[in-house]
Amino acid sequence: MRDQEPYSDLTDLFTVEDRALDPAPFVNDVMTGIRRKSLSRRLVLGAVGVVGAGVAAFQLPSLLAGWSGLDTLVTRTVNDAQQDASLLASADPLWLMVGGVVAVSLLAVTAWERA
Amino acid sequence: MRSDPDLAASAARGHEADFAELVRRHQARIRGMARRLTGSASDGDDIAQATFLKAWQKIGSYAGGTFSAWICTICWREYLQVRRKQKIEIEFDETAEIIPFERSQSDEVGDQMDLTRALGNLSEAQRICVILCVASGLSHREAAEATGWPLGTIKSHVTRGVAALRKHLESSHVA
Repeated sequence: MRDQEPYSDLTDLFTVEDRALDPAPFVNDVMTGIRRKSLSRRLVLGAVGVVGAGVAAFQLPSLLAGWSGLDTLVTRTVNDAQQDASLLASADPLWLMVGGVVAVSLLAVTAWERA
Repeated sequence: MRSDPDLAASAARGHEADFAELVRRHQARIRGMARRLTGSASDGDDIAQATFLKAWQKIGSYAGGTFSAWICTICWREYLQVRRKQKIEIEFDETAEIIPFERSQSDEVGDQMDLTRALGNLSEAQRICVILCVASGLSHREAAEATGWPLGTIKSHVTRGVAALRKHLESSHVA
């Protein structure tokens, strides 16, 4: 048994008052807001994705050029992997730029989802 | 007819039509609650709209149970956010003075029901508890969980608020 049994008559009065409200315009407003928000979310995510892909594609030749050097270093010793990565970053700062773009994109998406 | 949890699960998978059905089912309760909390039809509908937008974002976190209690809790939090922006503190003191609704003239037109006037004569804490438990149909426990107030406090405010409400309604009918 729910707590409000002793005042169900009052609850009924409030319910009658609430049911007099026209639902159609309100539901329409809410769903329009949801669709607008979904659309803007897709646009932002799409734009960020396209920019990220564009930057990555633009830098691909440079990255591939540095890949064989990295591959050699990694296979030589696992312990030197971290050092190799920093060497690669200093030799080819484009990695840092791409990493930065990815990190900013992830932060933007996270902030958007939490908003 | 599909149950609320079923519709919510479907909405969580991105089906907007099912969420629209949930909005249709619960809009009267939420709009009524928000309008009574704010004392204004337009402000209340703004909060109700923000409530459903937030519910759409958070629908994946709905873990079953009474959907109306879940959505009323969101509405209460949205109302608190608006209150914080206006820097108005809610007075929980039993002896709190009666805080009348701030009403615009346009809201008063067509809204002269005894219930609304009677609510306006309650203390702030009593009014909130009556709105949550009596008008919106939350159980005392659900209202306590939504507000974070002690269960005993909720029960006390509801009992006194209902008594005051009845007294006011009786006197207005006599007059």
